[in-house]
Amino acid sequence: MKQSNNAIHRATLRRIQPQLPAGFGQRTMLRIRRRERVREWMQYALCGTIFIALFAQCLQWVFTRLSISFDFDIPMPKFDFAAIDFVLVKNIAIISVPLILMLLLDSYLRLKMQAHFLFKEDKK
Amino acid sequence: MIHNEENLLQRIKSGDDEAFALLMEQYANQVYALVVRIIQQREDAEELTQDVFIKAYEQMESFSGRSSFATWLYRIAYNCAISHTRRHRVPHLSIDEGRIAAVSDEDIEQMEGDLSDHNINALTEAIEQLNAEERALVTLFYYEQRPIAECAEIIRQSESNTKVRLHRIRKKLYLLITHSKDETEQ
Repeated sequence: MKQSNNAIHRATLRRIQPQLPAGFGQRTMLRIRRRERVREWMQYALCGTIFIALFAQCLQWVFTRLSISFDFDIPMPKFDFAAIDFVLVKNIAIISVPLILMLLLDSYLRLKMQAHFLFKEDKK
Repeated sequence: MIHNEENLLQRIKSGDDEAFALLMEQYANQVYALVVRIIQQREDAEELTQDVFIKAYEQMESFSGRSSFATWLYRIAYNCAISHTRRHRVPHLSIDEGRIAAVSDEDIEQMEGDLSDHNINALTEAIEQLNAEERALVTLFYYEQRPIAECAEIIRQSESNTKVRLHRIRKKLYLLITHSKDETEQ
């Protein structure tokens, strides 16, 4: 080898001879898998948000088409049951139905993601 | 067990991370050696080596195969280590350009040919005093024995520029060891 007769080459061989500690590969793969998992979660969260936003838009469009106004001026009942009219019930329904749907969708996505990761871990 | 690199790369691109673990096993110590020699800190070097492999894994799609995988990986390691030294502002010795230019080729040849323990020890100390880019080039060319073309590709310079840099480094090393000799004699 031509460079073995070179003093600079010999000097480089005398410098720190580093050796990686044991388990480096496993630690790095763990970090890579964690980062991948976070990225997948982020993708799911983004898709979920877009889906919910679109769903809310569709719902609004349907309500508009059905001529149901978004009147949030809820009259206070004043403990008089006669004062609770149809407008109040309708408004509560308008607010709660999308909320329930969103919660259901959120639970579904969480379960789906958990199942996905558990399956992935099992495979490994 | 020797794994075919081409085959491993194909498997990684199709999402097989076990193949990446095998490839990492092959190159981990070499990348770590380069990083340690550039940043000169073992504590940060392991984490930085991990960063290199994470970047390589995440950017695997961009690896077109124009250069070898080793060159591509070394380039990532070189960039990570140089960025680290810039962030941490590692001090280094600077020498007047006029003094570097005044060193003759004969002086360098004499220095390179002197295989005495004293000269090699002085050179070992002198290499530590070079700046990060210079240490990287010395490591790649002398320690790793990579050809000039590959060194040039790793540090993203032309071959002629790399040769000029190496020549300048030799001159600088000569000045550093003669300076240390002078100090010892005084």
